[in-house]
Amino acid sequence: MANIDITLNVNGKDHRVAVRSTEMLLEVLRDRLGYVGTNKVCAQGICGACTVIVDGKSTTSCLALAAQFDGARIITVEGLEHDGKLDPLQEAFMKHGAVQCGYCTPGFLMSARAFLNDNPHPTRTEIIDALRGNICRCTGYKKIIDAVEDVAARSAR
Amino acid sequence: MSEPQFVRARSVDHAIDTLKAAGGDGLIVAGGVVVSSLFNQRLASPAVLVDISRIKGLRYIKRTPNGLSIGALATHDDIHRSADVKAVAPLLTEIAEDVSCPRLRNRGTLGGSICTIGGQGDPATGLIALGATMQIKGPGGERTAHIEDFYKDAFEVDLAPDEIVERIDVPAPQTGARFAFCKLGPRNAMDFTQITVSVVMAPTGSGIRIGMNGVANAPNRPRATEALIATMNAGSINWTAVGKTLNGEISPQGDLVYSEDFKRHLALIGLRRAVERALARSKEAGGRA
Ligand SMILES: Cc1cc2nc3c(=O)[nH]c(=O)nc-3n(C[C@H](O)[C@H](O)[C@H](O)COP(=O)(O)OP(=O)(O)OC[C@H]3O[C@@H](n4cnc5c(N)ncnc54)[C@H](O)[C@@H]3O)c2cc1C
Ligand code: FES
Ligand code: FES
Repeated sequence: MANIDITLNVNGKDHRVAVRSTEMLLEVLRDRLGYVGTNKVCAQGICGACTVIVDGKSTTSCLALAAQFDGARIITVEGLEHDGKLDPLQEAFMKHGAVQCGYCTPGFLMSARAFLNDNPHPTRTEIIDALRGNICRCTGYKKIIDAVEDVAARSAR
Repeated sequence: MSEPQFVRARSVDHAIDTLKAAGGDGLIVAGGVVVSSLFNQRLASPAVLVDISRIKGLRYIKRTPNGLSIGALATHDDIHRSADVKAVAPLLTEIAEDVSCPRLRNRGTLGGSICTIGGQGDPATGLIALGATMQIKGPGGERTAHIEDFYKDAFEVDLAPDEIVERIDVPAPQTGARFAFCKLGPRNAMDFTQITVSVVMAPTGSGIRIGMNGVANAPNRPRATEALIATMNAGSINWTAVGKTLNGEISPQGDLVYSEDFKRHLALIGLRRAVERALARSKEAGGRA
């Protein structure tokens, strides 16, 4: 029974929703609120495709009980764009060819965004470590890491 | 399957009362990483879910006269970033850095990690090697347990259904103590670890405490192996002899990928690497590293 009332702020917009106690944040975002940019692959915490930013930190939405997140501020891939302008990470992913099938991309973008907000000028090794929880079966990772490195190099010191 | 009732605990006592009322059919949820995964696999169906994540005063890391006190809700990320942990027990910093990945470290708690039945726990090995104790509260009051005694067997920890782990106390190692952590698995990141070993060695000589995971049904402390190494010269440990003793103290289970024999082999390699790293570190750092 969906009887636990919670409020989620998603990309700046408040949503009141009644959830079941075993419902995952991922399902609520996708199936109830329509934020379908967040992808589901493994539902086991392994692949990172479902990564969103919760209260400033990257979070695995397939292993997150929605009922625990009342009042949370969530950013999904749809929230990266501002006033019709893509996030520099999205621009860099296109420029570097860091996207092939694109299934993993929202998760990488959210992990990378949370990481760069916390550490705007990382080393390449730190970028690799920050993305260790995201799996891509197409690109071979190099272009993704190049894209994140590019954004870090261009951001003001 | 009916949905469990969801109770947001206001305090430790409220959580304990709720668990007690559930009569053994309650399940604590902290960061929820492991509990969610149980639900996704349809492996749990409690009557009541007791959410302890909002209880005030359970998420902290403090220095104490004896070492460190870590609240059960401290996350792996909190531990990784803590200057106090790094100063007092840097072994725990190193372990936290290697637990899965940032998005899981942000959510997973130390309490949830050590209470995860089945013992998927890198931190537990470090806490065993450091001689940590747990403060546990239940309807009858508080008690203290040594972490190495907490793990009884597969799926069996020394925790009643209405008890909660409130904090973990970590005694500061001796000044100059040497330490290391070794994790062996197919990949560096995101694999459920096969074998993890933590060691803390006395500042000189070969006195040692060992915490291991993946080599028995639950995290364990191979005491006979510790005693044997302590009789040897740190510079010339007889690993064949150590391997024999260690073999008598561990009981890994073969799985689809690794046989029991191979895990026994890995256990000794993990221990040897950890010891050699600890000894090498003391040379390069000239004492406490
Ligand atoms: C893909 C993946 C990879 C992982 N990799 C690693 C790894 O490399 N190394 C590693 O060590 N771990 C790893 N883990 C395990 C996981 O990150 C940790 O165990 C995590 O800290 C669990 O914490 P939690 O707060 O989310 O636990 P929860 O899911 O909230 O709880 C876990 C269990 O502990 C009980 N519990 C929680 N808190 C308390 C308390 N205070 N008192 C009593 N009982 C309590 C719950 O009832 C439940 O049974 C991995 C997990 C996943 C899904
Ligand atoms: S779908 Fe969440 S980690 Fe794979
Ligand atoms: S682009 Fe296809 S999985 Fe990453």
